[in-house]
Parts: sequence; structure tokens; C-alpha cells
Amino acid sequence: MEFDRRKFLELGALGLGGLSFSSFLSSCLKKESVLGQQFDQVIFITTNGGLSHLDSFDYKPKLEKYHGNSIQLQTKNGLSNARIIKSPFKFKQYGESGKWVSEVFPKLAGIVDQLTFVHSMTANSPNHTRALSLMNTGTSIPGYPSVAGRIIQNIGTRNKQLPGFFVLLDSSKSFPVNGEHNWRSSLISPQFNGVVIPSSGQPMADLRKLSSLQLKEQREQIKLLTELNSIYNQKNDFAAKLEGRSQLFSLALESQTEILKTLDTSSESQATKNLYGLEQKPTHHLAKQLIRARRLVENGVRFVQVYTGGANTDDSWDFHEDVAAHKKMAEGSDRPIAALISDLKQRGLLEKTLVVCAGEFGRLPTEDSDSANKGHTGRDHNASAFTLFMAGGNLRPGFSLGSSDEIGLSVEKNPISYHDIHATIFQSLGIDLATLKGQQNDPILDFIKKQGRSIDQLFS
Amino acid sequence: MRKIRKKKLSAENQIIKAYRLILGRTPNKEELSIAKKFLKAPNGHRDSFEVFIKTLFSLNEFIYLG
Repeated sequence: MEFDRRKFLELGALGLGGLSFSSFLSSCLKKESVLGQQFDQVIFITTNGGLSHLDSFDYKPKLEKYHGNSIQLQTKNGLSNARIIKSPFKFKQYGESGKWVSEVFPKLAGIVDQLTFVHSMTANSPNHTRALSLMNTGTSIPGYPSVAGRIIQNIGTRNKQLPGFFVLLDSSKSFPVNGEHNWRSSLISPQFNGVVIPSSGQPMADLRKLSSLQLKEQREQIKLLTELNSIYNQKNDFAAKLEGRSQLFSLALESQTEILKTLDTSSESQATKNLYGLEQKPTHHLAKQLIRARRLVENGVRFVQVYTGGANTDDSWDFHEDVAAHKKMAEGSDRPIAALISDLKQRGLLEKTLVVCAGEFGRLPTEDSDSANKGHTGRDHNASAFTLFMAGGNLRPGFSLGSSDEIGLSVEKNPISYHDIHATIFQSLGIDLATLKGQQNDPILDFIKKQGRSIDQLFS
Repeated sequence: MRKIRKKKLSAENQIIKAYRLILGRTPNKEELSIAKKFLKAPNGHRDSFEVFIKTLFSLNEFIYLG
């Protein structure tokens, strides 16, 4: 990059001194991503509540040594003393990569050589609402467009008869924190909203055929609506949003039978049902949602987000009370997640599907003081270090990027933020971050473009 | 709808009446011709005038304030 006299004078004239100059320097140093298009679609599995990296995939033998020692650290209640606690689970090495995995994830341990880990994830807040918002939208202020919605806005979706973005919820009836803000299109057109599907009951509450109107008649009506609307839209400056509403009607019309057919898991073979654990109790819900996720991407849906865990502490990964309870959540999710990756692979879909699995943050190596009072050992939130894993395409299999310190409290090497993960997702879908399109006056768009850096070294 | 139907109006006048009642204005030429075409088209068992009225209530113009 060249910088001429004029640029230097500009920098001086701005009077921001060190700040502007250092950001100018960092923009000179920032490497452009060379990652071309790798994937057609994404399945993002969200371990909602904050899966403990220390009890799953980031093995810290030192926790055993320091068990019971007090350290001073920053918690969400301020600076306080807390006792280090070891993991209640045994760890073993698996695969050719020799990856250490907790005993409660035996199936994922079995395919660990196909996974790519990032052990140096950081979030900007140890608070569920802010961290989950950051993960889904790229900003910790809830209410801006989801990253998935931006993807559809930029490159559309492959099957025009289905919405481009689905959100599959866990058995819990409750939405994750921030509710709809996690998948809302917000400033951008409503056709980029996530379509929410619960794991039981009617897949879509309002999606049933009107007995009185034939499909042909419905088409006629939507045509009339679209034609009359377009006359009105032309006269309005918020026409883009209104146009989106019309397109949403057409999409709803065309997808009403298609969605139900795609979400129906009953036609799957017994072998597939067994692989995911569809008929077993602990795995039933996530198995169903992950089979649906596979069916959706198979049918050309661009982005599927699957939640494991709801908003309540007792049915999510948010274990303040008792670390050992991770076992219960792992029992419900280990097998279906491993099955999804194997199933995508055997169908040749893993080549073009990026699978990501992570929560909004990790957990502290120390005991949550609230749980100690109740005679348990739980862990509080940790935004300074946690683990994410991916699978698919040309991701380096069995590779682990970055590391946390010896007790997993904070990142030691290669800090990675969700901005970087988003940049990697955009870039690997063939969207050049620099030319990412958005709405006018969207304050977050520029932020997303500038904050993230695609992690090209994850790919071979 | 009964109010519009009761009087023996021509199709065109029914459309104008419906626009006045629901949207508070008279339809322009283009809108009139689109509506007329819709009402004339052969339809199934469903009363197309009823569908037309329901559609007016779903218009962007009815739902959003410009």
C-alpha cells in the first residue's frame, strides 16, 4: 500500500494523533483474504448458554494440579477470589491427531480427525444477551440484521421455492435470549428473516393449506396483490421493504407444500434414524432437527442454524450449578452432531457444506460462588477463552488453531473473534467482505467489513 | 361487502366503491384495469369479488402509512 504526502497531512490534520495513526497502520498491515469460494451452504449448531471448553475439547491437565487453589479474577460480579475446579470428566486422546476429548463426547471423539478446532475464541462480553447477539449479528447490540440474513441478501439462495434461512429450535419451547432478534432481518428486507421451526408439534404454526382456495386461485390472488402493490410501491421511498413484503407472499405461496415435505423426517431410512438417534429419548429432538438441517441444505437452503439448549439455565449449556450436568446435554447432542457430519460426508454434501459448532462463550476454570453455596460445583461465564469447531470442504482436518492459557482462563495465542468467524463464513461462501452489500444508513455494515479477518489458515 | 353488493352497480363502480370505502380514494386507471381483469377471469368455486376485497385489506397501502 502506498501512502502519499496528502494522506499523511490528512492524518495529522484530523488531530486524533496516535489513535488514527495506529488504525491507519493496522489497515496497512491487514492482509487481504485469498480464500475463494469453498462452500455453498452453512449449518451453524449453537450450543446455547455457553458450552464449557474445559469439560469438552480444551483439555487442561493443570486444572487437576491446581484444584482447590484460589485465584483472583474478573467475574461478571467484579474482581473476586475463586477456587479452581478440575473437570469431573476423564479425557483421552483420539484419532491420528491425538486430540484430547472429554469422555462425555464419545461420538465426536470418534470423528475428531475430521474436525477443525479454534481454541482461542473470544467474545466481547460475558453476558448472554450481548454475546449471543455478537455471534448472530456481528454486534453485541441486539436488533441488527443477522449475518445469515446478510448472506442471503448478498448471494441469494439456491432453491427459490424455499426460504434461504431456517432456524431450528431445541425441544425447549423457550426462544434463546434476545428472542427473534437472533434471526430478524431488521433493517434489510423481511424476506431475509429466519424461518423458525420448533422440534415438536406443527413445524410451522400458520402454514396450512386453505381448504377453500385452490393453489391456482391463490396464485391469482397473489398476482393481483403484487400488481396493485407495485403501483403503490413506486410512489414510496421505502419501496424496497414493501417490495420485500410482496416477495415474501410469493415465497410463502410457493413454499407452503415444499417446506413441509422437506421437514418431514419420516421417509428417512432406519439406518439414518439410528445413526442420529432419532428414536432414542435423549437424542430425539436434536436428531430430528439435524436430519431436517441436512434435508434443507440438500434442497438448496443457504443457511440453517440449529440450537441445542433453550433460554432456561436447566435446559441449556449454562451450567452455573453443576459442571457434571454437561453430561446430560452431551448425551442429547454428541451423537446427532457426529451423525450429521458423517451423514453429510456419505452423501457427498460435506464438500460444499460448512458445519460450525459453538456457543456464545465458554466457562471459567473456577467455581461459581453461587453454586458453592449450594454444595455444588458450577462454572460461570468466560468470554476470554472458548472453543469452536468446524467441519467440511477443504478445512484442515484434525487441525487446531490457537490456544488458551494453562487453565483455560484467557487466550494465549491467536485470538479469534466472532468477527473473524463471520469474515471466514462470508469469504468461504464466495462473498468478498470488502464489497459486502447492505442497506443505506446501516451502521453495522461497515463495522462488520472492518472488524473481521478471514482465517485462511484453517483451510488447506 | 354487502354494502357494495346491495346496490346494483356495474363491476367498475363496485371497484370504485370498494376503493373508496377501504382506501379512502378512487382507483387510478391502471388499478381499475388490473381489478377488472381479475374479476373477469374464470375462477373456481370461490367468489372472486370476495377475494378481491380481502386483497385490498392486505395491500401495503392499507397496512402501512406512507
